[in-house]
Amino acid sequence: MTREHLPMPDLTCREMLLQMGPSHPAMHGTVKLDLRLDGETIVGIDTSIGFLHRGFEKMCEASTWNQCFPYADRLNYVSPAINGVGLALAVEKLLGIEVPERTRYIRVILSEIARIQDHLTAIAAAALELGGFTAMLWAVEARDHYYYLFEDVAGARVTLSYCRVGGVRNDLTPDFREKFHKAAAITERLMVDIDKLLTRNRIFVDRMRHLGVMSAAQAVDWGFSGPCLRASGVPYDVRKDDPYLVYDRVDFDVPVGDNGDNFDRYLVRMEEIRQSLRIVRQCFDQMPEGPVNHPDWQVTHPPKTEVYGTIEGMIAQFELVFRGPVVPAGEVFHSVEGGNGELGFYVVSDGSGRPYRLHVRPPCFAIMQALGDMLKGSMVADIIPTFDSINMIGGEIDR
Amino acid sequence: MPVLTIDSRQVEVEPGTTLLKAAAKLGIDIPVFCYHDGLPVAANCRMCLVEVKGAAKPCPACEIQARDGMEVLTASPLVLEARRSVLEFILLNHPVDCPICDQAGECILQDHYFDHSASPSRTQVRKVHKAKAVPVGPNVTLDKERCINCTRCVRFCREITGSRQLVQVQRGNHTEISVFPGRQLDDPYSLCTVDLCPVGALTSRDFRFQKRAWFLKPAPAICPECSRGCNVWADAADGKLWRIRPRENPAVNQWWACDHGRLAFHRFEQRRADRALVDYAPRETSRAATLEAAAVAAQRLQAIRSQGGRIILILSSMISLEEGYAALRFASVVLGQKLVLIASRPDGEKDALLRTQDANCNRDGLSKLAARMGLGAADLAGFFATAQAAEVAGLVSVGAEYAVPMLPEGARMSEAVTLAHCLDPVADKSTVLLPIPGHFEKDGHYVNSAGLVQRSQPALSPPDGCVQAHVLLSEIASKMGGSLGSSDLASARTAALSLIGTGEGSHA
Repeated sequence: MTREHLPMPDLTCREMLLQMGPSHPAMHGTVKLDLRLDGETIVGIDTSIGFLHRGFEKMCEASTWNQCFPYADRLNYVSPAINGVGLALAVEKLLGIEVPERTRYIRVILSEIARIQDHLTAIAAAALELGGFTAMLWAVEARDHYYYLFEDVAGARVTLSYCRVGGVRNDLTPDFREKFHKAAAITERLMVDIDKLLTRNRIFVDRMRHLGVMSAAQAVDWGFSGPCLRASGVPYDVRKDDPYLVYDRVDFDVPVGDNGDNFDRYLVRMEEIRQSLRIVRQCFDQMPEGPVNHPDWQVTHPPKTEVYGTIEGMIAQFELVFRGPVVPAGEVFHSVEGGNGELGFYVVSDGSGRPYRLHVRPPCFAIMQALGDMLKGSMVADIIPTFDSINMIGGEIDR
Repeated sequence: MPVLTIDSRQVEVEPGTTLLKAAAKLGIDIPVFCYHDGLPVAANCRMCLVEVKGAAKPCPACEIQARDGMEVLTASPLVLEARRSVLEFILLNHPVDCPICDQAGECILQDHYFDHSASPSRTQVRKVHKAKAVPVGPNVTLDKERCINCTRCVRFCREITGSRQLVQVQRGNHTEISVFPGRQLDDPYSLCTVDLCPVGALTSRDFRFQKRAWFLKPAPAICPECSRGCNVWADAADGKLWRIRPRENPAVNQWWACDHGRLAFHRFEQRRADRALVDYAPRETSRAATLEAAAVAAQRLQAIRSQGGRIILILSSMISLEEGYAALRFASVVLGQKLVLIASRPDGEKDALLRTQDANCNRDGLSKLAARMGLGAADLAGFFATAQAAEVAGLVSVGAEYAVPMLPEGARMSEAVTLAHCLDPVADKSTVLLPIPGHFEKDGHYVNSAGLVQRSQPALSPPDGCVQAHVLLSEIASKMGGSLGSSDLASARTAALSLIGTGEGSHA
């Protein structure tokens, strides 16, 4: 719905200021939009963030490297597994170590499952707020099967605290693979249903297409990444362009959109879910058996038999807990493809067991700042699908 | 002077300097277990082995003296391997005790293993077991399994106190630290062996299992138990003091502190004055209630003065210079006195190492301060033996760590206002008791028997009802129509220190 579609009587009215959020039900993630309106038409948007600020970066400075992982889970809390992987990879880059082969696959599997959940959530929220309650329930159902998988492997459904510097907490459960395939089959069936329900749905399409448009050039200028950038036609994906872990060994496509509008962002996410399923299946085929943690006890916790049975393991455990893994002094930046785009960790170590500085480059910060640009001239009601399609996550944007 | 090369860097040192010290001069840290600055060199732990060019095998850096043209490597593959091997050897019979060991968290065996080895155990044989939790003395418990036989404790008893109470017995795997049959480690400095012990073999019976090391927050304080003024760390957590450890100061106490001083802090926990008492009736435990009680005291003192009664000030020799300054100003400006009384604790047991006879931490400082403020100072007991004591109608006592003097015949004493942190005998006799922070709760300066001005910093915050002495005195002064001038601690400190000397570390 743009202004041109409606007969507008020539009324003179003053610009109206309207605050949307932070407790507005559609402003999920807790954000406030200061709208300047001419009637129902948006003249400008000022975005206020900070309602979910936890001081993540500062807290990390007082925590050992491994204590940062639970905090990192709370960045993008829709796909927490990727955050842990990103942080672990950054610290390992500074350490100059490679995790065992099996862990590299485990981390990719977890990341891609998290991406599926992230995209399902974004689609569910958009459908829900445009009136498609059924599609939401189906997407959430698909997502839930993966939460059960996570619960098996990490004990928690959402905030896993699963990654560690130099490895992961434990190996996958023996039936993980089997359960994944079941969950994947259910997801594919539900995806077909969601596709039928939304992709050619007149109401859905009318409120998504040609709205929140970002050209490729604009998107690059604003610093977009992830599905929002690819929907604008730029095929940039950290997994392809700067492959980490085992992404260079698996075959997958990077879907791109044509128009850079809300609908393209929806389509890109739908396709990425299918591609992620493809990646995980290939990983299960390639994944070797073996240890999941780096053998250096200055970095990773010794096996529990060593901790309880030998003084060497006991001391290493003690030191790793109260002093933290020994990370050489230096600084490093490492980024991974998060649910919303390029998730970067800039870490500085002074050689102690705690970060001297830890900075996060959250993908949706760059995207959120363009919201006003995307919506200028649109109607108030268009805020909802546009805000949904960029999938702002408060935990990540506020840190 | 010999010039040698350590890790490709040249350094010139005094003749007789060990390689360990020469490396330290370059900022190179060599790990040690048995070496201690205050003890003779034993070179038995072998942790400090370094490679010396031309030497047949690795040399202990703590013992070998620097010679001109020596080439030393402290991080060569040989040295790193030597350290790993030494640690593997030491850990061979070390029990898996960290979770129940008091030393965990401040254990150099833990730190050195993690920094210099971190390799898994390769041993296939059972560990040698020895006696655990042996009460070797009134203050010290020995765990023979945890001992790494560095002999620091043995050397301490032999060389520093001369008591020779600890010895090494048996051979090889079965070597252990022991006391002679029928004897115990009752050296008055026995807790120094606990500090010296690099592992958790010797532990303090007082501190054992009380608090994990990583919860403790150390504050640099001064021990108040005698006029030596030993520098100590006061380790506190959860609003409670748990342990006193010596803090190195070559000019005062070197690395040591006596058992008496370390354990005396428990007296601050007993009968703690945490609320004001007016005529023995307790007030609320709040700052406001204490200030109200101070107003009552002021009113009563004012009543005595208006009737021409004499009010005299008593200074406990245990209070800080800051408190002393405020009290002395109060005596001269508000009470209009030319004489103050200094009350001291009775003499303690002097020993050959640190403890002095004077059991007061600031007697000299307060006397000097009074003299420099133009006030005469008399001894409390002496004054009360004279006839003029009978004329005294009121007393204000700052600090109460002294014995209650006998009142003279015909005394007209009607008010005794005491500022104290404990309900000791003096406080028990007071008509108004105003609680003040205890020694480890306040920031203050003290003058030791050598005339050195030293600062003691607070390890704890005082209970809610306690108000600093200078604030209380300034409150009473203003209610009595006088003024002490500025009532903040910083100005009292500046004034006191400029009268007594130039500042911390200077001589009064």
